Amino acid sequence: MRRLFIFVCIFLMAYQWSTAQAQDIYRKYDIYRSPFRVLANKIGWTISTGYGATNYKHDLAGFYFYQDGETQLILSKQNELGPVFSGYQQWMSNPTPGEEVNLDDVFDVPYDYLENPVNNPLLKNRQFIGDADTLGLSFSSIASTVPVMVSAHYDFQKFRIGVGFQYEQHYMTPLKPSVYQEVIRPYEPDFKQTHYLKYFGMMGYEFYEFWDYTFVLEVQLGRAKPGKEINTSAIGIGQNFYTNIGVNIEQNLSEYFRVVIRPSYDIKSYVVNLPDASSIRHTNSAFMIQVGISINIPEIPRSPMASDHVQLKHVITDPASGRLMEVRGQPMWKKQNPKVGENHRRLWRYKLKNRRKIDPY
Amino acid sequence: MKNFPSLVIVLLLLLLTSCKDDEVDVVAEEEARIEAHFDTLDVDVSRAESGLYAYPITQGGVPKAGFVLSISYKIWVLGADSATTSIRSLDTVVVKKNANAIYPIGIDEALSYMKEGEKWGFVLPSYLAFGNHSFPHVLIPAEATMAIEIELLEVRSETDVLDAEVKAIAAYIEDNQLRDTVNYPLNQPEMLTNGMVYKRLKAGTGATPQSGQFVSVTYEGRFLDGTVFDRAPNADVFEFYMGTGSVIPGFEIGVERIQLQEKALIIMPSYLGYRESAVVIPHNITSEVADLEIIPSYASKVPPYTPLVFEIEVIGIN
Repeated sequence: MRRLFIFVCIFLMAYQWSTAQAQDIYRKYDIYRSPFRVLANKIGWTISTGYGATNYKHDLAGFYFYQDGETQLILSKQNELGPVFSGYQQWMSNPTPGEEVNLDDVFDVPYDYLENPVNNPLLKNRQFIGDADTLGLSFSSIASTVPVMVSAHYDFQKFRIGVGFQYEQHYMTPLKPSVYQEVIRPYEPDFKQTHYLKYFGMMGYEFYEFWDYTFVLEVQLGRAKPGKEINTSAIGIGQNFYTNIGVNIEQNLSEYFRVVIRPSYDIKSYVVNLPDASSIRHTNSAFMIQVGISINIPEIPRSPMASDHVQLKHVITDPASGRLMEVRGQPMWKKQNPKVGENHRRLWRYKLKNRRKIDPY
Repeated sequence: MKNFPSLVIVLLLLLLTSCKDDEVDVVAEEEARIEAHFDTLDVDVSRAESGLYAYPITQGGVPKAGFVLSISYKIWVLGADSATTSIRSLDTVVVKKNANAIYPIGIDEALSYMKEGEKWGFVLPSYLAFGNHSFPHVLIPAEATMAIEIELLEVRSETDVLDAEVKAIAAYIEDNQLRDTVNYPLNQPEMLTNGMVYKRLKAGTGATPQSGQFVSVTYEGRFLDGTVFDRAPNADVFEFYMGTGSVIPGFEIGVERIQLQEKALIIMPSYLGYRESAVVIPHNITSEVADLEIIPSYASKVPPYTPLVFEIEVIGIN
């Protein structure tokens, strides 16, 4: 599948290049253009970063939940509940057996007397145990996320295909319980931060254009690999697949340079297998908004002659090789082939404090 | 626009100051209400540093050493009609003072004002009373200011209390004819030097539990008047490790003497049980206060300085 994809990409690029070569003006006048540049020009490169809100959530349906002053444990309801509770802690990232706990109220008869009994801090160490199905208990929180994405894409008519990767840093917050918040403490993940590495293939469709803005619906499909904080050996096989749906809003500053804003929604989850063969699914879908730039490498270089002040794309005789070559008169981020008055630089007299001065010089 | 950061700082400071003001306002408002209450009364009120208001109703009591107090009380929400909404003690309440064993906590301080035979009135601001807890069934709302009148009936030392308990235990033995070898043919009650009584009811076999062993028992706990306050039946046996101090001393000392399959009666004075326990005023919110983890659960079952009778059968030793 991957080979076919690469083959199709190469074929399409070769087709484009050969089509470009066939444009008779270049052949007719023997104007040189670097084949590498012509090919590379077909690939759009995007780099972006921004902010995401990842909603870590898990439902404890099918589990008993236990809490005391020190620990929180879960145990699958496949197990029989006895006077001693032996459950698992840190079921979000690295499930390990917790210490066995006596389920009795240790401040009831005939347990020992307590000195200074009123408002004694030890009393707050009381146990809470419940059937999460009956309680309807789940935990969730929003983790701030900083994504950095690099992708490459190829546009074919209004369609887009591409590949890329994204690094995400997740800043964890305690997961709040959905019920009995006055009794059940938030679940504290045993890591403050983690990261995700995502590799994806991408498909898109340009569904709207407005002046120099382009709107592209993009779908990313790929693998999301969590950081070492989440014990990957406890995660079920094939559980790191993810989907992202977003809209690329691109402002085309030039034919080679775009500013991109990309709101998107990330759908992903993973399953943690507990040592007793039970499992629990954690969803960590995210809303993200990313800002970045997207470029296409220009198919022709800037004019090599410092004295060449031509503003448009034009043909020169290359002083080095003596052959005709097409060159640009603008940097890649500025509009190529500007009309009169476009791309004028802003004069110093109109910048900063000079705006207020009658005579800035 | 260049002053924007300083503007933000000023706004934040204003916000913080206003929050602090709000807290101060709530306390000041409550104090103003209490002051207004005393304006209408002709009493000699004093305000303690803690915020407790105290005034004598009947003075001239006798100073007496001891920390175990017998009191009666009447409590109501300040501002409500005391004639219709007040709650009175059903019986004499025994409490140990300065032991952090009475709730609301303001009453512990209030008791130090009183001598035997005196009656005092107190007003507890909400932070010395129930705070943000509410008890609707006794018409106590959250943040309630409480008024209470306490009469100190008797002051005793813990030695006096123990003597009384030992006498009560002796009377129990006589009243229940535990020495009657017709009804109880196995043996006579054994009077231990620590004040406990051990009486075998059904013979067992084998060794007695040793320290470190895991013991399963069934039991029924009773007061000397026969009221059952707790039980662990066959369907819900009680299990514990011997020698770890997890249970009250009297229970462990008793079980140490009981053989497997043996059933015995263990009677213990309160110092081997729940001593001063914990008292809640008014009495009819004790269970709720225990549920709120303010007092131990046992305090909702066992009153202060109460000798306990346990009928215990050891059904397993591991």
